[in-house]
Amino acid sequence: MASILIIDNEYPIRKDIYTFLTRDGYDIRTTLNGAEGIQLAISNDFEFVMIEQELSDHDGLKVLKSIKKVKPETVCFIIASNPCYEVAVEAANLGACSYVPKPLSYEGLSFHLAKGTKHRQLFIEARDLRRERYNNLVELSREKSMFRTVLNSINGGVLVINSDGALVYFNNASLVNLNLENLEPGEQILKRLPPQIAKQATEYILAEKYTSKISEIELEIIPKNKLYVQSVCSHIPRNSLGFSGVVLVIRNITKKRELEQVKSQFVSMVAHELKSPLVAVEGFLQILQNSEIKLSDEKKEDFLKRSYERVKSLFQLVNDLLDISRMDKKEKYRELEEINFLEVVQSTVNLFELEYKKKNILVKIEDEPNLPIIKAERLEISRVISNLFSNAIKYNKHDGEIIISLFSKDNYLNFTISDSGIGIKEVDKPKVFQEFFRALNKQTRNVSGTGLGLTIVKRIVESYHGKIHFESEYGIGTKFIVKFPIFRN
Amino acid sequence: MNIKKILLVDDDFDLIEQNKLILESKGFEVITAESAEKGFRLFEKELPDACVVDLIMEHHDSGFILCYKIKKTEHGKKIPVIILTSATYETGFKFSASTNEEKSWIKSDGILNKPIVVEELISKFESFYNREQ
Repeated sequence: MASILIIDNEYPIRKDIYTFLTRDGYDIRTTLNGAEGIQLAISNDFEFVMIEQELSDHDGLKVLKSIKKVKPETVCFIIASNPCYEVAVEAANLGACSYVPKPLSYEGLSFHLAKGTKHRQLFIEARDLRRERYNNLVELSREKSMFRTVLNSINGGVLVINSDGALVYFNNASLVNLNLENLEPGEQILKRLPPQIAKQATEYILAEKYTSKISEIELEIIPKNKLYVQSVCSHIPRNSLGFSGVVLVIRNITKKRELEQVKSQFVSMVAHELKSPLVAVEGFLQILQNSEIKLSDEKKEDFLKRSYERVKSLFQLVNDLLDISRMDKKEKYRELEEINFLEVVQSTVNLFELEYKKKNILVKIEDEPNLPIIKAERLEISRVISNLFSNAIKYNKHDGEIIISLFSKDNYLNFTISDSGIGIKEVDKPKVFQEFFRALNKQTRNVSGTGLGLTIVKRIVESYHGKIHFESEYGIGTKFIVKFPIFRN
Repeated sequence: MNIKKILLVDDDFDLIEQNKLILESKGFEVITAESAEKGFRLFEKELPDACVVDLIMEHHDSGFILCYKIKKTEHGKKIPVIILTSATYETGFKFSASTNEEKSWIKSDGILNKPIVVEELISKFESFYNREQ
């Protein structure tokens, strides 16, 4: 039901008009006071307000102004006992829907109210449209800023170039990945790009029609492996066959490339290490077959024995390599069990009994009561111990000793193994854990090994978040210290 | 060609012994060293008529460096130095001189694959001395 507020000093409408309007469904309130009228109009939602031009306490136009300021959608009429052209114009300017001269008739009022209803509808529609437009703009700017934030947060560089070769958009990473100081939207970008990327983009820009194919190139931005990027170029489609430009995605692949190089170097090293024993065996066999070279029976036997040793070392190498390759995958699905370290140490020492007794080496195991438990795969722990223990035997002197000690300290189970062997020279120390490194000197010439044993030990220990280091003095002996995190339930 | 004494440098003791036997069976006198450092000392002391140097010893390029050092000496310029390797292209290492800069730096008179084929080695020596005359 539409409601009307009438603000007038005198009772403004005749009783019969009031009755007719009520019958037509209008809810009518009246006040004689301008100040109260403003208050009522502001705090209620009247569809219509009629204001006497000359109120006793207020100027009707001021009342109109006050109401319109707060309730712009309210339809206001100025009713005038003394109509005046100038006031009518001013009222219209202040937002009055009509200027109605007194006396009021039912027909006159109906006409003005109908006009006001229309006026109000139009006003509300306009307001809603404005709001919608405003919300759309907010949404749009939100989307735009999200788009920018996302593009600026990704690690890949993004460059958008239109079909005239002008830069449309770029993100921060594109500057970093192309090692550029700055770029300006709208600038001719192709001459600023590395020639290979410029060529790649130009082919797309000059294309006759849209293609969904992408082109990928890899190139060096800063020499010496400082910055290496991959540039991926594709069309931005427009309608059915056309394209509006190209987008370049520039990824930093320096790390990936480094890894590839390390991997390929490892493969080369492996190939070399595999080839060496084969060459030696082949050489022995050739000499044994060579009728020009006269050999004593002992020498012949010695060569066969040495060939056999080289073949054995080849097997060991293959096993070590398999272990290393297995280790990476294994970390993900190995079966951990609670391990009593001392038990594994003792069984490993027993395995090597024949070998250390042959060199008359004294083996001592020192432990403390209530050693903590660690959680690991038994085979790997036994591999760590046996690799270190067999080194301690191999590089030890006759009648030497090996001391193994087990104790807990600072949340780690410490396992140390010291030998009275040949020790490690200062120059060789940094290379001890390096793949295929074997110290070469008189004392090691008859010791066989793959150069992978300590690499494997280190990888196992570190895969359990443990630590390993060593102390060694050349000619005196070496001590390896391994720490495994203690398992607590 | 007048080669009597050959210096053989290799860190693999099995290969040293094999190559020594083979070369001796062809009538050469063979002196050996198991590291680049010892090899150079022996070279300076014995002044051999030819050198055969293993490439990968302590370092990947030990053989190249030894060859470079030998070739820098007065005597080294007059004799062939052959580099021996079991790691060739297929292993991924770059063991041959591909640029002029590398060629001028390395100065070896040939690279041969292991194991030694004596005939190949001798022909390398011969072509060196033929060039020198």
